[in-house]
Amino acid sequence: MNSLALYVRKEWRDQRMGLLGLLVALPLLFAIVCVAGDGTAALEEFLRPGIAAACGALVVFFGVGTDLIPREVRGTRVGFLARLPAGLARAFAAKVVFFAAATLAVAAYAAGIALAASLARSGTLPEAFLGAIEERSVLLAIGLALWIVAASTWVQHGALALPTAAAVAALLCSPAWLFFGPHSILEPTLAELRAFAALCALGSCASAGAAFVFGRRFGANQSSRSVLAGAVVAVVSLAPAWLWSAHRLYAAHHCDLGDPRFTIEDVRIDADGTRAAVDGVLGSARETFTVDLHGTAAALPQTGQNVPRASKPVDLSPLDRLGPMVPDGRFLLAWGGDVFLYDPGTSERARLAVAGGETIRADFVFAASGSSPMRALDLPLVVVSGDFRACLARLDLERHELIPARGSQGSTLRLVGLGSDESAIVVEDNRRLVRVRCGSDERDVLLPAAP
Amino acid sequence: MNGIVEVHGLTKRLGRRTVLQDLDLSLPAGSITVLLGSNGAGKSTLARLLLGAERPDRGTIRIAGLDPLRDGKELRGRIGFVPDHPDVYDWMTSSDLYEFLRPQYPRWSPAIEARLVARWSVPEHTRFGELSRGEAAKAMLVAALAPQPDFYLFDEAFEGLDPLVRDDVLAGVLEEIELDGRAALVVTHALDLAVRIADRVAVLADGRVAACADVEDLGGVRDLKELVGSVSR
Repeated sequence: MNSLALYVRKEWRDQRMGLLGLLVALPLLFAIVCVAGDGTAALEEFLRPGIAAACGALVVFFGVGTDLIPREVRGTRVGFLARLPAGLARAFAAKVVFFAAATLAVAAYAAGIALAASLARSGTLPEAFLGAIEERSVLLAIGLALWIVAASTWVQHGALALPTAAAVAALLCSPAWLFFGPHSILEPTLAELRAFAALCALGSCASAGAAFVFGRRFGANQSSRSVLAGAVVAVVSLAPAWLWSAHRLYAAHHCDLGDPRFTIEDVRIDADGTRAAVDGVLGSARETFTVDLHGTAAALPQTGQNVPRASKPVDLSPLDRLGPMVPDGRFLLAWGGDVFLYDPGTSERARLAVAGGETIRADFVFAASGSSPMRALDLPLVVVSGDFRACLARLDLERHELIPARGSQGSTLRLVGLGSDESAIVVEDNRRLVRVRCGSDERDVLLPAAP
Repeated sequence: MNGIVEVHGLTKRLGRRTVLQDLDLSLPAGSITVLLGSNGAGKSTLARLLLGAERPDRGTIRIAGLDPLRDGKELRGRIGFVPDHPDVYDWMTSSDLYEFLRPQYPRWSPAIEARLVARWSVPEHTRFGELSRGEAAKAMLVAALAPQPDFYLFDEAFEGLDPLVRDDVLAGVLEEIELDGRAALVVTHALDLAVRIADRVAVLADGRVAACADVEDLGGVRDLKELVGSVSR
């Protein structure tokens, strides 16, 4: 038998009475719960094998785990283990092996009892081993309990050791708990919780190991060295969880402009037209960006002011797409890929040419300011949309033509500002703030700023 | 001098008290040295330092050329140590203890183990918690001798033995200790024991080795008592 196996056997000899006591106590606990909670929904949950296994594991954590090392410290056994060739490291490795094996065994045992109890009560097996909601709670409980086990190895042993360990564990985990905890507004994913639980398992093991192997290795002041070693390793181990929590918290209040889910919700241009405040949204995060409009004066588009309502248009086919009203009472209308001026009084329609001779596919035509198509258009800017592409264009009623801003892209456009030089500021696809110019292919992306 | 154990300028403070101050000690190969001193002289502290169970504040310790702190893992397998009180688990029997220790000491001799257990009538299946102090001391001595270490360190290991049994135990220890290229340090208060087994005696006082003499040069327990008394005053 190798020395690790001998050390594990030593642990078994050292802890077997307590462990066997748990094995006897668990069925009694289940029996009491079944009797007390008969007919309640809580009992059904408790009898799920996954919940029962977690309860079994927690019983081992508190019944055996919290005494694995304090038991050695209470006597003179640490000195004995430390003076042997294998040293404290081998003793600790054996404790970890024993603890893991005991936890798995008792968890399986508890799950078996739950299955048996469920079969005995209803004659059927539970539908699910562990639901997703329960798994979250179980992972959190196990993560915190493991830190209580770890802290119990390095706090001063005594009557208040366990409460102290619980307080220390709570203190250690609190920054991460804000994120991973059940009331977190950040909604951690199940994968994140699993990673957190795994980190807790590794970190608590490393912390307990440092407290025992390095803290108790030699000399006086073992208690303070043990606390120091355990706490330092605990802080280092939990740092990734804290950092991730901080990252998530930061991300919850800041929008990543490169994220495909980012959308521009609102744009406000200040009085002198030199700066714009852009309200962005990404999930639950909202952030306002300030954009320098590079000195080109811009003004808010004004639409639909003091315009008389038009009479109801007539003589439209189902394929006609009626657009906004222009100041002389006629309407813009898209049909067959072209834009027309439509007079509802005479049903006369006149096709608009596209300046520069190029064509724009027009399945729909809107007022660029986003006002209702049925309201009059003060400013002669429209958005022509077709083939999943939108183009801003200025309407020249005298020349009967559309002058497109060929720099505009995207499938949706929203006009948010007008420049004095035929330029316009638009939001493309709800995520880019862009300045374009009618009669030109100029394109200046204001947000996200070019790197 | 190239001893199995070389200690130079060793200083150790416990709290505000300086227990050992610039202590020098050399244990030559093939010798048994008895370390004497009054209570609180620092004998057990020195033993703990040699074991690597304490970190010195200053000075160096070499045992078979190894540093107890830096080379602890290797060195611990080459020291046969008996503490003043058995420090093993109460539920262990001597048989459990030897089974536990055997794989850790490459030079463990089952023959020595069997011989000493038989000679001293060590109870093999009685738990340490139920053994008398003398029985436990004998069981611990077997655990220190069977590994055939390079350095034997007995910290008041014979204190619990009644006089008749102690003679037999000492005879057994002297027979089994293989001193070829090895050394032993026996920490004790018992002057008669020192005269009985030691080649050399060293007396600790004021944190230093205040006196060191070959037992052959001393007339007997009375001379040794005078020596200890003179340095302890």
